[in-house]
Amino acid sequence: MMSLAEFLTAIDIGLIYGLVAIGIYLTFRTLDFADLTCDGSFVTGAALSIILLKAGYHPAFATLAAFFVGMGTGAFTAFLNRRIKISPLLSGILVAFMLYSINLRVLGGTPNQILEGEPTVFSTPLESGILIALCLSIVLILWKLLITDIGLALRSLGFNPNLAPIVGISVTNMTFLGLALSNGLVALGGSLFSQHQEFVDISQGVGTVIIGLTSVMIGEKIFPQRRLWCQLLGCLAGSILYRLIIAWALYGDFLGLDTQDLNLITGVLVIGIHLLPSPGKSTRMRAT
Amino acid sequence: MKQLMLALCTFFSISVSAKTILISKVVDHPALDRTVQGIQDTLKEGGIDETKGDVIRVESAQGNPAISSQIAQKFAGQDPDLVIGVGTLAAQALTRTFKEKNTPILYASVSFPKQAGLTKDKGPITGVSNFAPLKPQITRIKSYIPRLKRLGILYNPGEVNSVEIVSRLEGVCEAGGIQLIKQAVPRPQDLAQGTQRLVPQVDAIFISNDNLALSGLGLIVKLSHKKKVPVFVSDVDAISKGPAAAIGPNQYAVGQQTGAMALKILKGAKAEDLPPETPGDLQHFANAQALEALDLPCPVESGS
Repeated sequence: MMSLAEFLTAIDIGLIYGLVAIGIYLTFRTLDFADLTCDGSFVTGAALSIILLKAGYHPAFATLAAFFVGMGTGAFTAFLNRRIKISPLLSGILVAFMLYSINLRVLGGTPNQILEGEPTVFSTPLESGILIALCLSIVLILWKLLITDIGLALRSLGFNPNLAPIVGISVTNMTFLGLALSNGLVALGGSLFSQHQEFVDISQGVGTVIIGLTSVMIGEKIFPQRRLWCQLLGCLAGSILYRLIIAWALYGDFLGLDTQDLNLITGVLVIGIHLLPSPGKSTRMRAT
Repeated sequence: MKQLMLALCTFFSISVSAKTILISKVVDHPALDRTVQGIQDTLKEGGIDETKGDVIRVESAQGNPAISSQIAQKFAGQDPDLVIGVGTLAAQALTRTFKEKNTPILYASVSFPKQAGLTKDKGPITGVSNFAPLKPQITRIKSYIPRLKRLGILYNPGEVNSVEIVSRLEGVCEAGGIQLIKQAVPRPQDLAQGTQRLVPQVDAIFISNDNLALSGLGLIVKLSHKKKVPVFVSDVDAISKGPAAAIGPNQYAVGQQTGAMALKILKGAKAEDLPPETPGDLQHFANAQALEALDLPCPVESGS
């Protein structure tokens, strides 16, 4: 059956996409903004990091740069939505659409590039350790941030978009903040993914939203508590579980299934998880 | 006890002689499927017998890099005798995952292995590229249209192979006194507009190994043949979709070539000792019906 290395790869990729899931959680759940920028910002993070690494920059700088440029893409989506009054869905689609060309520019017109042994953030004996530490500290920072006044304001907007402006919360500022944070995390995920896999491809971002959203939903199922930190950890756990599901689905050959059935098997397994009874249903309404 | 020993012995002897060949392809695509078929058929003809315990498995990453990495990791856990990556992303994922192992890696249907990092300094890697030399293809197109001055090419700027081919084609065309007019088509829904923009500017349209343009070939052919601009492709399997002619490597033969290399490795040859190969002879198919409608001469050796 599944080998240890395979299990660890699933965890690694799961953690990396877990950051994407947290980003998606911030927009789709916290802010209630259906942001599709991620399909583009994921690749922006990946492309920028690879190019910076190839130019000889330090991996930490390449990774941070991806995060901040990712924040910029999110802020641009917020700008389209709040200032030019384009609907949330269309703003995201537009930015992701334009990012395709920009990403190609970043890559210098070569849509697939590999690292030739340049050091990455994973160039230490503790590959997965770094990833776990990074993900957990991001959850911690985000949790601390979201329970400050600003964080509460951000979350209140998603809970009740009509009430928030009445109590003096700036919808525009919060949309900027939420989208920038979210896409920063997605780009960070892209950056880490490309460094982990040591290559970038322009088509890498296809389906990022779906993967992230599925992970968020799996996470909500296995961590149904409404405590904030539970939900953030749930995003990571959901993403890891999603990767494990794919790893299992790859063994469909025992059932006479083919790889072309992979999406079907994965989908059925995800539906299966949703059919499981929720362990914490009774506590759902109490704890906030 | 004796029986158990016997069973163990039999098991052991099988596991020593039985070969496991794992194939990872990047996406389900007619050309790649033909290559995989060529590999499988050649392996079977070469004595790899699945009824005798040998294993040949094909996995498809459905175009998703994360899944191709997971497939490579799954392969690593199965301790194969040989892994084959069909398509650039699949071969790259295998190279990365098998970095610390000594498993031989073959690639197929990779246009530019060197640029993709598939070289033997990365490990026991070799294979067959599917890059067809461009000059003979252009010469063939000129045999249809002697007064070819402006050649149009439709390509997806997001496909690394296409971008590389276009840049090389520029050199070839310049040397031949032909003006290359490029039209980028980033998404399938842009094909119609891209073609319509290109058609009035050119004498002929060429499509080389571009998955996106090939997937919408029927539409391109319809739009340009209506204006009497012939379409030439480098994918011979695409001739049924109606282009004037197809000049290029036979994808099935590329698979057979890869399969032959695989057999050599399974018989003990070292992958790093086998130089990377390019496709054998170019195949040439002319579409008599389309050529007639375009008022172009039909060569004698025409196929369909």
